Amino acid sequence: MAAHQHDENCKKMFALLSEYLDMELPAEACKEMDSHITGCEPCATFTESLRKTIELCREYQPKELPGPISRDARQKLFEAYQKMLADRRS
Amino acid sequence: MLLRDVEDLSTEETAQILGLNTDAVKTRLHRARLLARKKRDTYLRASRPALEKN
Repeated sequence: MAAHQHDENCKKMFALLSEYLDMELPAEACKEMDSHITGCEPCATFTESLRKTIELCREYQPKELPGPISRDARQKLFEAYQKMLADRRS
Repeated sequence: MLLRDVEDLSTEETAQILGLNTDAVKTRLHRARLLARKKRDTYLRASRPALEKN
């Protein structure tokens, strides 16, 4: 019975993991996550590897585009993306 | 994930750019992060089998 309960909790926490790591969960849900992770070694390992993955993305600094061009390029990409979405919808 | 985690935009800004609601942004972000974690895990296992065993 304990194993089944464990599975349910793990699934629930799996779905909320991003919001948990972004500290966007309501306090109560956050506490539940904390206590689950503290008591569940596989979930603790998984959470840590997801946290590390996000951290690596945050540290990643694309260097190919200098600032002013990047801004212009970003605008063009944005326009191209909007056009692509509009084309897809029509 | 690029807009949220690399470019550090907010969920709202990302939603605006992608033409999605914030719930959809959160769902897609979570999915992308899980995929990235899996790829990183696979890469680490493949490139450092000796360390994994220890």
